[in-house]
Amino acid sequence: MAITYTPVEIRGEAVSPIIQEVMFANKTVNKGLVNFADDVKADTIITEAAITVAGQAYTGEALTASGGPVLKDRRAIPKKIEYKYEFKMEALRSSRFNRDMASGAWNIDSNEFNSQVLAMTGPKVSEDAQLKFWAAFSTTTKAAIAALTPGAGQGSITAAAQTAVAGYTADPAGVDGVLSRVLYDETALGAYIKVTGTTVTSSNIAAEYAKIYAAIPADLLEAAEQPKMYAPYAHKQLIKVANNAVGAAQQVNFLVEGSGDNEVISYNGIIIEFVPMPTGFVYVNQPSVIFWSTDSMADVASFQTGKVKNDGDVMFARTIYTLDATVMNQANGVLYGG
Amino acid sequence: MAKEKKEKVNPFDKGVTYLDVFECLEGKSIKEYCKNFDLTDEQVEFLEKDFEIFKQSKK
Repeated sequence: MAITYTPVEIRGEAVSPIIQEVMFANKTVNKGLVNFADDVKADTIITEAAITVAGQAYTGEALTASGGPVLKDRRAIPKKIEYKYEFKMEALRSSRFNRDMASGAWNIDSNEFNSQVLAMTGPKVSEDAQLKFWAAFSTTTKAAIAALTPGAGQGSITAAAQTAVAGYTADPAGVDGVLSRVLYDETALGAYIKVTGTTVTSSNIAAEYAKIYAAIPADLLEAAEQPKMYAPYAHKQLIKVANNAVGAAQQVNFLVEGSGDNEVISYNGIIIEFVPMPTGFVYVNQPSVIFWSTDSMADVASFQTGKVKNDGDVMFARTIYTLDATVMNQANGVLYGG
Repeated sequence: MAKEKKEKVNPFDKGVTYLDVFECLEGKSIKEYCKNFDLTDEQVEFLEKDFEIFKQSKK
């Protein structure tokens, strides 16, 4: 794709810095919202372990054994994803960017363009990687979910969730994100604790989060590592509107501490992290059981440029990284909307 | 031979699917059917919407 540019012929000064598009920061990586397994070149095994014990009356005789270790392996197989676009610096020759081009017809490289426009490539790819991590569905998983028979109770997917998944575009690189892994665990419906959902508004969000909180296993709430609620971005606004209802006494159902980048929102002591979770779903589990597997965490925010052909001026920009999402201890996880 | 009456299933029981519920409806609405069970208004309201989505997806 060439540079899409609506330039104004340069006369005099141009305002610096260039106004960049607003992007969601990759908080998942920047703030360490989940568990990161890097240095995964091809695939890796992640194991969850539990022990079941059963007390029996002592007899002094050789008891029949009961209980024992319960182990489950899941395989993280990072998918390789590439982004590439092409551009020609020649398109910038009559724009503001010509101000720092060296003289000479050969010289059409602009440091301002490189540092302020091209440099957005990294954060943009990183934003997309975060989106894939939480919300991507592969063609295979979409088909598997479509083949399930829905139901209202535990052990079935709701028709609303099934229809929502059917409407998503399959990830071209075959990535399955967290929601996909939770809804469909390798070969069958996931073992999530189901909380049936509805359209969340500022009027009902407190009641809906009460349902989610009530479904969290009691022993998880007592664990040293507290679970987190991973919610769609839109819930932040709904929560704040709910907390500050116009004309009503303030109902502080959600605790909002700090501001800006340091703001922390929680419900009954459980921190809510706002991520690109698809609308209608909220997932609750311990951060350490949600894995972002990759070859190198640095890949996702870096890119390379170069000439497509040595005897031409068309440039490319490419980013390559690998990614897989794995969710362990799924029987402890609560999925609202599933 | 009399048609065997299918035992009514609670839609919110674990493992019960909408196909199971559909077979037990006998022409009743979901709201009517739910009177057989101790369900909250919220559960019935959810079931009406979700079952409708299920029926639409099967068309």
